[in-house]
Amino acid sequence: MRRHRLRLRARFLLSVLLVVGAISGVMAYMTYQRSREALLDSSQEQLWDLAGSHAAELALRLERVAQVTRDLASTLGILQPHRPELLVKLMRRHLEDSPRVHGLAVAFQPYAFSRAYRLFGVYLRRSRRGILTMRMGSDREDGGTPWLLDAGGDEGSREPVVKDYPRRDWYLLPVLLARPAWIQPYYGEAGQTLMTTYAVPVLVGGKVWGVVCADVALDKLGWEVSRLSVGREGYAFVITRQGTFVAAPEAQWVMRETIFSLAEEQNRPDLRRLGQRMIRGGRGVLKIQDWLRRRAVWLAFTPIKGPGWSFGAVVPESEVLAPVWEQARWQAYLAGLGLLGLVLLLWLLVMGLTRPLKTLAAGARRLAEGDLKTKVEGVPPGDEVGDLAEAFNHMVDELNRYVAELTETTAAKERIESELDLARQIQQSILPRTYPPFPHHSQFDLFARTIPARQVGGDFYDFFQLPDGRIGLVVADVSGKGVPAALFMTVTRTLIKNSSAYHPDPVQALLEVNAQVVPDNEMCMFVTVFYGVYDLTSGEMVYASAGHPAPFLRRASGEVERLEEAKGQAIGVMEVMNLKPGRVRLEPGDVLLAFTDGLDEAINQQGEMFGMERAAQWLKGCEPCTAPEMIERLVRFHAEFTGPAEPFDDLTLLVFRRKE
Amino acid sequence: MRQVSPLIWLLSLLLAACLVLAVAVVPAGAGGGKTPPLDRVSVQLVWVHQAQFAGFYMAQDQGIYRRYRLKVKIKPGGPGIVPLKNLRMGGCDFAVSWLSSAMVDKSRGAPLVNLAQLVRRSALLLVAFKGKGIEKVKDLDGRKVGMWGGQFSLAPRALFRRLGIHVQEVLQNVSVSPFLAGAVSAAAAMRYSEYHQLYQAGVDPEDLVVFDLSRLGVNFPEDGIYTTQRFWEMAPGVCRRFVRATLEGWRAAFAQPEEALESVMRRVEAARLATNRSHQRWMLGVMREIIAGGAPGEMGRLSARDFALVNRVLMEEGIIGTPVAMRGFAVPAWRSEP
Repeated sequence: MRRHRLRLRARFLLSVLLVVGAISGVMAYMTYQRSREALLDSSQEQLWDLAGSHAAELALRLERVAQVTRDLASTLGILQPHRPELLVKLMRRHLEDSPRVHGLAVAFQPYAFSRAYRLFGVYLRRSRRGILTMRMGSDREDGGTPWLLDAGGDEGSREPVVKDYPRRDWYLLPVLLARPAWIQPYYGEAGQTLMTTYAVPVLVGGKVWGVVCADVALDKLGWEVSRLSVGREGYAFVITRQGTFVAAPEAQWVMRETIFSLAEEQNRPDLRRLGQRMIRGGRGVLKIQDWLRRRAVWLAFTPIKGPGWSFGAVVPESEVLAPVWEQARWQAYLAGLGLLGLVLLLWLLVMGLTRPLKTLAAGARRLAEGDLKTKVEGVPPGDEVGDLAEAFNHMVDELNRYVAELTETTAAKERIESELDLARQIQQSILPRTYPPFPHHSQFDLFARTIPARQVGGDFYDFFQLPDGRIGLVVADVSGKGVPAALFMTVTRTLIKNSSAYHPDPVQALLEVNAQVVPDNEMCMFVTVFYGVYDLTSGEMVYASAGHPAPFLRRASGEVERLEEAKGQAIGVMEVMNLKPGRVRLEPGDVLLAFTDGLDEAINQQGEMFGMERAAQWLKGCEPCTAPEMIERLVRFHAEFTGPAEPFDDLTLLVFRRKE
Repeated sequence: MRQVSPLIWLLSLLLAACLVLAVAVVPAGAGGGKTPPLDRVSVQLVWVHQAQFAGFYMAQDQGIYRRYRLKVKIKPGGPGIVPLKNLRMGGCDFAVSWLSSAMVDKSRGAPLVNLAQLVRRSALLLVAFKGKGIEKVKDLDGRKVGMWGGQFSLAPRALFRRLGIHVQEVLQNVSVSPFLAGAVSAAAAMRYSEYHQLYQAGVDPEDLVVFDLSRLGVNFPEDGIYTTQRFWEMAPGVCRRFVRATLEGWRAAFAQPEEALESVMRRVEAARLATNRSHQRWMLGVMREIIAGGAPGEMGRLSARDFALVNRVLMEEGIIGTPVAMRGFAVPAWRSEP
């Protein structure tokens, strides 16, 4: 009981919570999705702008360096100086005019500048002590005094630097390609500064005369990419055309790792393909797995025009989505609070509903335990539960009234029943019940029995000795059942007994009975009677039947037959009636079975009738025995046929067997 | 003062005697009889620290040299460092060098001996981009080919001569930039180095045509361990121990590549070299093929056929006048039995 009530309460709460929770969940998810998309869009835009503007700025700064270099190259191409002083002067002026350029070099094709030098070049670079001038290439070959360049410090020595410049990338690339080229970055200045070089061929008459190149320290370009923060946790990076990092989130990657070596180390073919897109000048915004920490990041990449490097800006998706999460968190808090409030409210509501129900249940329990004075109190009237309580109280009142009535009725019924019981006893007692009924006559065996359908029945039997010594046998069935039939039966029985004393002929006796019954029969009751008179000496039986079924006769041989039907109406129907006498002779061992229609008209549960045939068959197969035993067996057989069904009619059996 | 019992006196004396004995006996047993002093030697590598020399590092880091009673100083090479010159000048006891360089020096009178031939299969390749009309070596005729010059050009030159083609040799530094920029049609590349640098510059292997010189009849043995005639004659035991320990170091490197990689990376990082772990892993893998690739038990052997090939090419190129005799040049210090 208790658990069931709790479950009801919990179920109510749970279903409301589920529905409300689901609705707020769906709403939160939709809000999340929409704001997520909007945020991703706008942050992609931002990331793209950031990458684009930084790439453009870097390209612009590199372009300024390139312009100085190209300017010097075209000047040299026009002037074609052959005196080192002029060359150095031109170079110095260009270097002084461009503070971003760290060093300038001019190197010539073999013997192009002077016949005295196979390889000749000049290198100017800034130092703390000012601009240093150095010679590059091979030693003088014609035995003349080596040209002394304006050394400008200790580092400017007569020994040429970079003796094998023709095989350097900065020389080879512009010469072989006959166009300017950005050279792969390298660590210059004792491996401290990341430098890159722009190299331009000096063309004279369509042929490469020499090469001009400018060194630029990447940090002079406002090279703060590695410190460039993108959002809180984002970063930027730059890779060269060969995929080498020149700016990276991890300092040790610079010039060591390429995007492809990372892809190889981490076994990331997707990263390799991305790298190939980047170094081929591709641009785009996409979501990838970060190579630092395995998490989703957004990457915007765009080429840096000029050197053809690629700029990448990376921001973790979690950071982009942080505001969405913040919003989602607030929504969750609010929804949680709302749900809590709802739970409280519902709890109170459910309590208000279930408390009176509990009172009602307790009342019902008391009622069930027999406390008819119980009343439900304390349930405020007005609502449905109040109505229920009122109805309950009303029900108790009605119940009380009913019980009082019932008690009365039951008492009356009990009284009647006890009277009926008494009547039955009386009725049974007036039928002859001794066995053997005529102890002085051993010539025959006689027994009879009535089983009423109700307490008292309308069937009866009788046997008596006539004044002439013959034996009268009566089996009768009064129409109707119960008390009226019983009373009618008593009258009939008495009348038959009296009449038989005056009329030795059964027909006459019954006619006399009819004559006495009919005039006062206002109830229109009637009775069927079989009345036989047996002569002890001859074994002959004279009988009359007033509408009664003919008895069976089982011969000693085992053959079974019905007595000849002595046609006649039932007694009590008409004043004038016509009865015919019947006559039969019983031989020793013959058995007469008289009965009422309670035998053959009995119906079993399947709706089948017991029927005469079944009775005849039974009688045929019956072992010889005493009359009471025979009746006992037939009653049992009959009961087996009808089963537990309530008997519909009274059953009366009479067995008469001639012994000798 | 308290009186000391004679029994305690006796015990103290006995204890003191035991201590004196112990002090006298232990150093004599440990130092004199069991561990002789280590022989200090140095080896000059042919290039900067990288997995090309992982065997040396493993022999040192795993205590193999110490086990062979050696204390070895490993000197990294680099641009401008010529190991054989260093050896001649007494700057080191052992040098790692290519066979061809050593033979040239030998023919010019340098008293060198080859103690073991580590790299017995050449890792030299010529690479070209696909789709540029280069499918076989002959297609290089008349084209610009980036090469490093000197000993490094010998094998390709011999190949070109054999095929009767003329290429425009472009001398370049150790760089893949000219090739990537399209300044040369093809370029020399070491399988363990530049070839993989191209991969790490985003070039897929299927985009390259690769000519493997070791399979084109010009297999020039590369890294070998050299010492002077004099040192060999003076201390053959030290030489043998060094070579065997080094070979054992190589075997250890191949058996435990991750440990070897750690040894390499420690040195690379200390020297702040511009390389990365995956590149060194690749290099170690190639070294395994070209050092331990032959028949088992042959590690360290100098093939007479390859020696003859180098001799012939050097003669054809006019670099040496008379062939170098293998006897007296290659001493099998790598063999287990002297």
